[in-house]
Amino acid sequence: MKKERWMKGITGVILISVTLVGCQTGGQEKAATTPDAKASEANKPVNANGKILDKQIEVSVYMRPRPESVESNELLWMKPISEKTNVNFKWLKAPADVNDYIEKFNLTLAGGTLPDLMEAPLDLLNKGGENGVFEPLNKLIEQNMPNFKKIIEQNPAILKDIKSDDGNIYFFPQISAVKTINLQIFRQDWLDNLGLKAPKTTEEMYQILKAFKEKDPNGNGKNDEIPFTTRSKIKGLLPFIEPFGVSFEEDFYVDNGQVKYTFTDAKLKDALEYTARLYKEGLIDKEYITNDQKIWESRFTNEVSGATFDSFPRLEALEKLVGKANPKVNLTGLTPLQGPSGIAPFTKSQQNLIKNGFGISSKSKFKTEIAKIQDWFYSPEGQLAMNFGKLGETYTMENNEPKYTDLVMKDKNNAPLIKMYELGHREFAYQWDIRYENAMVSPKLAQIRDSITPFIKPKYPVALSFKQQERDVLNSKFTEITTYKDEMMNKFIIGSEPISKFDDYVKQIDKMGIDAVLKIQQASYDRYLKR
Amino acid sequence: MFLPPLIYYLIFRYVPVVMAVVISMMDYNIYKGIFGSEWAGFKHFIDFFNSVYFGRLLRNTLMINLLSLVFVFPAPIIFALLLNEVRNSLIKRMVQTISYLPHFVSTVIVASMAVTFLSPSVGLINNILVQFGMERTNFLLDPNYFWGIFTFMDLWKTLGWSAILYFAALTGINTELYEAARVDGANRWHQTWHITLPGIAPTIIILLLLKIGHMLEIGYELIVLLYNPNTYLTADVIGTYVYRRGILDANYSFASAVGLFQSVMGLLLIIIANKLARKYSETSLW
Repeated sequence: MKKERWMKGITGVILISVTLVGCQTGGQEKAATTPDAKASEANKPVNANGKILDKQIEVSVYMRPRPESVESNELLWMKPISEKTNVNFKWLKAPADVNDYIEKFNLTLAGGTLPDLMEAPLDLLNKGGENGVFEPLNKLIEQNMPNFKKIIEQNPAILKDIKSDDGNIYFFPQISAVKTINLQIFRQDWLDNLGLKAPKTTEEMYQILKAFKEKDPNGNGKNDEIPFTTRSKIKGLLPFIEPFGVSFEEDFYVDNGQVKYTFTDAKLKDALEYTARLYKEGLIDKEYITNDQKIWESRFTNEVSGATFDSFPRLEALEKLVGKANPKVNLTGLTPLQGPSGIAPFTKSQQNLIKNGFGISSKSKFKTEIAKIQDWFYSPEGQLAMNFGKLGETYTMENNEPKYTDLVMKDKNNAPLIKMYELGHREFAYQWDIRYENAMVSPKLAQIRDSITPFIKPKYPVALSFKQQERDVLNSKFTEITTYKDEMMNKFIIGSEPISKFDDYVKQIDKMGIDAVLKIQQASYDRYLKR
Repeated sequence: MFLPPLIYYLIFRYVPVVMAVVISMMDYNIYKGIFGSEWAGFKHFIDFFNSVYFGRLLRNTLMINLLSLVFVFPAPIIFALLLNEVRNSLIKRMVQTISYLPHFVSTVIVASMAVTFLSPSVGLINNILVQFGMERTNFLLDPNYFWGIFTFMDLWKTLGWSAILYFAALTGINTELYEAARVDGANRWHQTWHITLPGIAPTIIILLLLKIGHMLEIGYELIVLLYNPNTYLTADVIGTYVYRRGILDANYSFASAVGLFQSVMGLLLIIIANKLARKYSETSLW
């Protein structure tokens, strides 16, 4: 009896393992049939039938989803791409929230079975690459990627940002077209109503926000205005901080080759004092810390707020949104303000040259194939397809210039960018081109965007990498410092802690070990310069 | 067929525990795995105890749990007892169904409801306060309110669902006892006090014991959604701190070390509580 039971159990276990193994070998067999041996054809970009690959393959992809549409190879935007490359993209479910996304990315790596292609912040890809999870791409680029090679040969800055400290390249970069990202968005019609001019200095800004609050620019007879609002918590208050010469955009900055910590800078004290004054007088949304997108939008649709700080394409999206109720709405974008200290106006809020990256799993069966399709993404033809979608449906060619059709540009509810996502636009790694972006935005928006560009100052590099011991210190010390800093910044602004306590706060940060953190940042920064 | 459950428990229950214990004593590197990572001894434990925030985290975690013990734990018992007195079975079932609906509302929705209700500019609560001539308050920015808000949301979400167990226990009470009591002249209040309450006492004690074992843990999702740097002072608990430092930064050793610390403390608490329960009542976990 007893023996029989054991037998049953063991048979069960064997059965299960056989099934599991079966699944695995199934995948391998399929992989083995694809042409690894045909590497000699590597340099031919396109095959006889006009496709990038001879045989159709399935590539699993882990990338940020878009709330506007589900991933599918059949969507209007994706179809020409997957047909041309002969790739059936298998989209893996990824969380939309940044933190959740990173969490799942880490867990996927820990789990061992990796998708072929993974999107992540650069630091994580380099870390994975140095540990052997992602394939070093140097050789693949050399042999299979003429288009991409040309890009990095022509732009040494890109090469510097994508190279890891060990000299390898572990990811394909998504290369940005413009630097502008956030700007101050203002209700021009409110300014006109009150006979005011757009503010140029912090003092004028104060006066205008005050006028917004007191002089009823929305004309409903009630004193219900919340002049300035934001949906991006403390970062939304950046335009009030930067005129004083310091920026929330970066934890560290470089002064004469020395890395320094932003949040203990003496200039920050004045900046916080100014911001706290605006908050105290009700010129900044009292709920800026808890606002989400929904509340932020309602502030505009209810016409209680007339100013915000947000990404430049949002200007048009907001205009569309408010325009439904009030067609007279007219939004404008402002350049950074002049502060009292005489520092030239600037902003560090900008798109990074390299936005994100895609790494190839070192266990993938399709390394060469992926390199080839990826190279097509960087080719002129590929760029056109990635940026513009399907000829005749989402764009047309006029005088050799691509132009979006009304399907994208004239959507009733959505701004063009959102409409593109809805049609299946995916942000793979490819190069953006200003030409493409100009076609997407209206001339008014393009002009506002270009007015910001001269004010953009280079930011602390995002492509730094760290050794394990360095990470340990950063992880323990810097996480605690950040917790304390986040807590205190908001307290200073909403006034629950007086600005006079700023020096005590700086002392506390020193005590928590900012020196050790700065030393590590400095070392990493120096390594970056030497790449 | 003892083997399959044994295998199940080995693979899915014991191996992970052992792994977590091992990882907590290593500098675990997700790329190298358990066999490639280096040993670190008690580094992560010491690191956690030495954290500037250790005291605050412990206090917040314990306080929120204590509040939950005082308010959230007895509420479903009282609710079940009250509903038990309702004789109209249609109303009874309706109330019961409605009461456990919040359990099915996702935490994200619960949090955004809280934000909406408490908003100083458009929130219902503030609008009511203004009617009574009081000032608008930004409840979610003031650390003084956090414990109250969290406890209330927790209560609202779990009340009906937790009561289900007590309803089940109530139906297990022999109805003859009530009849006998009525013959002896006991009124409703006497019946509740001498029959119903002792009848469900074992359930109450077991659930209380289990709850005490989790005194150092909190379902931190709701907190992560409700807190902000301004309320860290009262809202930051062990779970949220570990989430920021252990999970987001992929420092799994640290997260495991704290998890282990929580489990050991939980085990200690539950042993003590069980001893007390055995001493003063007939019910205990073992």
